[in-house]
Amino acid sequence: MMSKAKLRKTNEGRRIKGDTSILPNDIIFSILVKVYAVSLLRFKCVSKSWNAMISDNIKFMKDHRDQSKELGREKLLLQRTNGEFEFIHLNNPRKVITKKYQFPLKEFRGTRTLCSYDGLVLLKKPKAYKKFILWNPSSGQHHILECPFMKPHEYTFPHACGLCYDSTTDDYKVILIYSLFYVVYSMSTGSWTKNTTSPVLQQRLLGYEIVPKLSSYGYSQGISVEGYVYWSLNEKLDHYVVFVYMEASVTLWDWASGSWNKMVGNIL
Amino acid sequence: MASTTETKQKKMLILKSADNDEFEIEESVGVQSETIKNLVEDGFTFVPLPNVYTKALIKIIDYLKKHANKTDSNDEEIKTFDKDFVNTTFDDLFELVSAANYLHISCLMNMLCQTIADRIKDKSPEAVRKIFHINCDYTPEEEAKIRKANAQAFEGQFDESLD
Repeated sequence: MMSKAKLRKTNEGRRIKGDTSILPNDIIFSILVKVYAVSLLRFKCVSKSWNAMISDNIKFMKDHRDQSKELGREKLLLQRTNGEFEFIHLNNPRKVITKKYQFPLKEFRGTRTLCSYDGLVLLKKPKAYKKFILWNPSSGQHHILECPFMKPHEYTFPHACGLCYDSTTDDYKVILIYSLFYVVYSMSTGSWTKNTTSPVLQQRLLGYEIVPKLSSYGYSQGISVEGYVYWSLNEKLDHYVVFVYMEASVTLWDWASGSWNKMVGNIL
Repeated sequence: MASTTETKQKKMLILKSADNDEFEIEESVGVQSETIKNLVEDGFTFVPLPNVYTKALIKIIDYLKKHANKTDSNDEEIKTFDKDFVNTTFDDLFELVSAANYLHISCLMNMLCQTIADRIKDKSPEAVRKIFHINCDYTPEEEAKIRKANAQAFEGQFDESLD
């Protein structure tokens, strides 16, 4: 085979100056998206450019997730009532990957899972009012989010929450809906936006009966499908109200009247 | 049935490697590469490949010939061929992956990247650096910090071998 010098010449122009790697970054990228998440964490210390590629790169995260799905590496995450997590292989339900394990940070043990989407899980301590944790259980990475709009003793639990991927801006978003306002966190910019909840939805949220249960809170988990997030309010079937978030607007579907009410807010 | 295709004159292409060796292949074999396909569509029958050296080109032509004749019955045979194809050194794989990337042969690119990914997954960062010929650009303090932040990924023993 040809010498390394020749290979370097072949790839010249696509490499950063001073980089001794014989492969250009676009090929390294194609290889690393196929590596298991836990190995990737170890490979962060190979070099600065590898670290930059693996961390804080939304395109990398997305491609890596798509590859894992293709390779049948999808997993189900279960949370026991004592707060411990378990992984189950979807293509082999009998195989439990990690028997039991706690969220890595001690400070946040016993957190509630608010919602999850695309391998990301949103967690919150029961009494915390502004701190949330975004966790990627397969890579073990986590990110603490602090909502700047929350004041102590004001709101401790959102009525509804959701995670979604916005393909128009190639961004993951966290949406938390309180009775009078809602906040959206953008992962790519790391910023929060606050908006007033429209009166129609406010009415619904205030009328939303919070049923005290030992193990759960009265909030609605959003289900994210192709850029839309769907929530249902009120568990009674005849009072079903569904609202949808998509690209900066919220739409309300009233099951009883069978009509859509469009409520537009500027989120982006 | 086969006679009609055999009597018909097959369109041929000439590929020229970076070290000036020329290879004649059937057009139908060559167009599995998007790069070659685009040139053929523009009317070229002589294709210079200044980024692909002879040794890699010979292997890639073998691959393209094998995959051009894919049928339901030779599925197992192709699998064995592919397995043998990637059973080589890292430096050879890197050369092939560079060529496959330049030639835009997506199935080959996919197979080579998956092979490399599977072979490095249990390796230590030090071994990965040597394999990819990367100089560590971290200070010892910076590296220690990253190891600490990802401590769970460093539990246990890793493969230090370079093959």
